[in-house]
Amino acid sequence: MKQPLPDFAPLSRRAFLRTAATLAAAAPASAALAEEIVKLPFENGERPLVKYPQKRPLLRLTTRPPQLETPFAVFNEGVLTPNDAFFVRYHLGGSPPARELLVPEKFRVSVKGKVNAPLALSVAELKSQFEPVEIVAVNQCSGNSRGFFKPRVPGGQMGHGAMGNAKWKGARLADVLKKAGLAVAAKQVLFNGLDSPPLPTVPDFIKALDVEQALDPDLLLAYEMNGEPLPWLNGFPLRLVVPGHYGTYWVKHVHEITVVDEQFKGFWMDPAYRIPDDPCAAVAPGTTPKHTVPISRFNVRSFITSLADGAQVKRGAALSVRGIAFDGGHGIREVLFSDDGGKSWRAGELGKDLGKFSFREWTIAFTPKTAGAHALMVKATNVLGQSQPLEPLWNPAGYMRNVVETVNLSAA
Amino acid sequence: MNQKLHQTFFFVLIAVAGGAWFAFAADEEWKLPPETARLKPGPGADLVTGNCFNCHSVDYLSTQPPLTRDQWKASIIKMQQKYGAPVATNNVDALLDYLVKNYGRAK
Repeated sequence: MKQPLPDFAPLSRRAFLRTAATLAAAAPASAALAEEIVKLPFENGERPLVKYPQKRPLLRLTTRPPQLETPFAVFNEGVLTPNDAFFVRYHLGGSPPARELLVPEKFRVSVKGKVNAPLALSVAELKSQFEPVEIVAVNQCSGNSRGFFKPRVPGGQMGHGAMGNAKWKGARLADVLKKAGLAVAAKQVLFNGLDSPPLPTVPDFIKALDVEQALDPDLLLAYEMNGEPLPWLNGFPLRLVVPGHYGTYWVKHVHEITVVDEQFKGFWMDPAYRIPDDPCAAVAPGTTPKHTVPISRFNVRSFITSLADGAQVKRGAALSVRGIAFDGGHGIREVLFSDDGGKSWRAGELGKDLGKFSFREWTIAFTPKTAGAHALMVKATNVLGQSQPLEPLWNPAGYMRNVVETVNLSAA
Repeated sequence: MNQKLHQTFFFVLIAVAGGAWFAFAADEEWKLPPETARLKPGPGADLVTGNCFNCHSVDYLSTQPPLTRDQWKASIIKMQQKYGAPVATNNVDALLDYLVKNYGRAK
C-alpha cells in the first residue's frame, strides 16, 4: 500500500520551487541545478537528495567530508538495507580515500605492535587464509536522530536515517589477531583507516577496543556487504564490523591494526564519542555530565516503517502496520503497539529472526475506526528486559536517542 | 588473408573502444558531486571562509540549528583546541558576530 510520506517526502511543488530559487540565488549558475529537497521534521531540516557513486539519491547532510542519510521509506523495503541506500558518515576532510589507495594491488591491512608476528594482508589473503563468516548486523551512527533533541544540540543534524542493516561477510578479527599472536602485555587494539585529516594538526580517526572485546568472535574484518564488495563510501575494500555497537567503531578502509600495552588516549576516544557515565547515558537537559565513558552498545529502538508521520488513511479500512526493532545484540523479545497514544498496548507479531544483531521485522493489524487523529506508537523490549522510555532522554552530544516514537495519522 | 586481417583489426578496435568506455565509466563511478552550499553573504563571511572551509564544507555550519553565541563559541574553541584548526584567537569575536547574526539566535 502506498501511503503519503509528508515528513520525509519531497516538499510541495511550490515550496520546492521556492527552495530551488533560494539555492539558485545563493549559488553560481553552474550549481543552481534544482535538487530535490527533503524536509526533515525539525528546524533547518531541509536536505537535498544527491546522487553519489554507487548510491541512489540520498539526503545530503554535509559534502566535505560526506555525510548522507537514508530516506526513511527505504526501511520499509525490506529488513536488509540495500547497499545503494546505506548511510554514509565520514569524519575527516581527506575522505573518502582516493581509489589509488584502495585497489587490490596496493591495499594491505597491517597487524603490528605488541604481536609475535606482524602481518600485512591483502583482501585476497584474508579471503583465502581465514574462514569466511557471515553475520547480519545493524550499523547505527551514535548521533542518529540528533535533529530531534530538545533542546537542540550542535553536531550532525540527522533524522532517523543514519542506520542500516546488512549481511556482512569477512574474516574474524579474532582469527587474524591469533595468527599474529598477541603479546602477553597486549591491552588494547587500535584501528586506523585510510581516510586522512585535512591538516596535519587534525587528529587522525583512530578507534580503540580492549583486547577481550577485540577477540569476540562476532567482530569481523568485512570485505562483503549484502553479497557484494563494500561500496566505496561504506569502507571499500575492508571495514571493521562491531555488531551491536555504534558505527564509530566500524572503522572504514581499515589498513592499520595496532596492538598496544596501554590505554589509548586519542581524540576520537576521549573527548569525542563519550556519553554520561550513567545507565541511561543521560543528564538533565542543558547540563554537563560529571563523568563520561566511551559510547558502546546500542540501546533498544523500534520504528513504524509502513506509515509516515502525518499520513492520511481511510476510516474503517484495515491496515497491516509494519516496522523494525533492534537492540545492542541481545535480541528483541517483544514489540508492543499502541493506536491510542500510549493508553493501551498490544503485542505485534515478530518476523523472521535473522540473528540477534539484525533488525527484527514486526507487523500488527490496525483499523482506524473513527475519523480524525490517531497516534500510533511502538515500544520494543529485548531479552534482558531493556526497553524504551516514553519521554526522551538527553545528553549534550545528542547520542543514543531511543524514545518511543509516535506516528500521527489522520483518518477520513 | 586480407579479410582475416580486417577482422582482427576490427576486433582490436572494439576491444580498445570498449576498454576506454569501461575506464571512463569506472572514473565516473569514483567521482564525487560538487559542493553547492554557499555561505550567507555579509560582513565576516570572508573570515569564516578563510578559517573554516579548509577542513570542511559550508553545510557543516549551515545545517546546524540556530545556536546561541555561547554555543557557537564552544564550537569554535572545540575546532581550535581539539581539532587543531588554525583559528587566530583575535578573530574569534568577528567569527562569532557573523555566525550568531546569520546562523544563530539571541538566547
